[in-house]
Amino acid sequence: MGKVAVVGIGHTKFGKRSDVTIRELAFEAIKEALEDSGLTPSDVGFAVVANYGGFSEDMCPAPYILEYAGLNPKGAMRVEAACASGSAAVHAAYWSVRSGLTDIALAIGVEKMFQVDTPTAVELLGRAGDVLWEFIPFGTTFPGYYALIATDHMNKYGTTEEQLAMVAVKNHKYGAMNPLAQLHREITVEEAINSRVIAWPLKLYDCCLISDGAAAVMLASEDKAKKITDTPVWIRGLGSATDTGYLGRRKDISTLQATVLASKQAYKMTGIEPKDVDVAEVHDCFTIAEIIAYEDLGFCKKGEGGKLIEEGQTYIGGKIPVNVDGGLKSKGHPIGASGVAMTAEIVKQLRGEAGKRQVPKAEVGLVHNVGAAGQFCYVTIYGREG
Amino acid sequence: MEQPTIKNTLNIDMEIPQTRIAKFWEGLKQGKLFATKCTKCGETYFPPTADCPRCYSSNMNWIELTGDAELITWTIVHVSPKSFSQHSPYIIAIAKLKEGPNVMAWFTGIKPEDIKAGMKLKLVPKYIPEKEKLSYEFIQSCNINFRDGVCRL
Repeated sequence: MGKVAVVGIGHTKFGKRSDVTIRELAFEAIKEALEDSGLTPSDVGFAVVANYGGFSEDMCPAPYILEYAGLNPKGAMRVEAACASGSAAVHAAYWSVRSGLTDIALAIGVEKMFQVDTPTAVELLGRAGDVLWEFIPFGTTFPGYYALIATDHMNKYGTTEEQLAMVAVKNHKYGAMNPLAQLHREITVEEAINSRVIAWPLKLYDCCLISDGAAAVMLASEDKAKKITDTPVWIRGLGSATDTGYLGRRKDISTLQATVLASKQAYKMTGIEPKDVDVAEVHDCFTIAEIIAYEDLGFCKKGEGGKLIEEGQTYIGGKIPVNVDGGLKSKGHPIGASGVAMTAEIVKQLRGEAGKRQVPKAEVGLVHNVGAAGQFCYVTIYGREG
Repeated sequence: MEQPTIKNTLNIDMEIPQTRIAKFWEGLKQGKLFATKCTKCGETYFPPTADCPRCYSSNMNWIELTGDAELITWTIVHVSPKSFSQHSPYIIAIAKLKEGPNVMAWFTGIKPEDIKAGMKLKLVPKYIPEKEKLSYEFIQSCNINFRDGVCRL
């Protein structure tokens, strides 16, 4: 048993896709991943479907997606880890190859959120929180959770609303350069700060989008990968961790402990340190989440995330370019698809195929995907070298 | 051009068992806040749990809380889920109880500009008989006027 590489990627346009069903949308990403790897459905040994669900008709989407994409009778599962479902699928596909049970595995992420109205989408997402003790009694929304985190971070470290807005400005800038992004519009700090309040202190431009989208990545064993492609992107390290669902049971609300633990595992497995990462996709469901991710992933000291964006260090050319595809904020956040789409972006960066958004000489990339308000975290480190 | 669609509706009603922490709900009705305390390791749980995740004991004692708490963080929710559309905006706070646990609840009877981290709060039971609603909420500790089973806020 050796290494595992990504040998094919697919990524649909994110946005409102009222023209397709969830099966048709997943098909687009699967087709692209098959074409990119030069493989056929019969080559795939195992498939993992990431989908949060509730917004769309299929309660049990995996078999219908597999059938629609001609992947029967291969083994499959659907995984769910809230907003980190996509990374959960990548990790499960990795295990299936790494264990030797199959040579080729496909991770598929898909979500169609626009089939319901916005209040219903807010309701379904809010139910990823503690339904019994937070959602049903108090209507705690996801902007609400991250607003609680933001208020605490601001009180403790002096992080400002301007710094939050700067994250949105950066991600909109890169989203405008990404043809697959939902929004193609640059914004200013002033515009972000003056946008309407969603959950104080978070405003509209601090929040990610409701999106439809799908992504797929093909993983292969070392032997197969070398035969399939000249540009395999190797999975070098993985880490995962969980934290309490009830936010009150956390010692420190201004940090996501699951990120700290998951990234430590991944760094340890690779021998890579945060300073060695050339490009990162971090979970910016809200601007505060990106600032906290800088800190919890070790890109800066705790409490200095606001300063890092203020100094422009997370732009291309800075210390550590982050979310240069637009992030969840501007590219979009189709829940189940996001972790797979982040993986596809890092693969593009490490292959040198990111065009105008290319981080020069990117050798090591990191994907950080959070489920709910830190209940789940998956960190995956990729390299051009194995 | 309007896209062709199939319209489909799903309504879900459910009943969630609360048998093992029934005393908590009875307590709220009587104007009391109960937490559970593990008889084996001494850990206090609020919201109450019937089992202790630390030592796996299911021998829990019920203890009455003072409600005394200190504010950690808060938000004002303007865009609410469908089921809360009648209520927004509302203030959600997390505060640390004197007895240990941090609790999330609404913070009522306060102007947003008067909220400060570290301020003293009181967690109080809330019972609205006509709606059969049982809950709890934070108020500023100096505002307390409560103890006879009915919330007077």
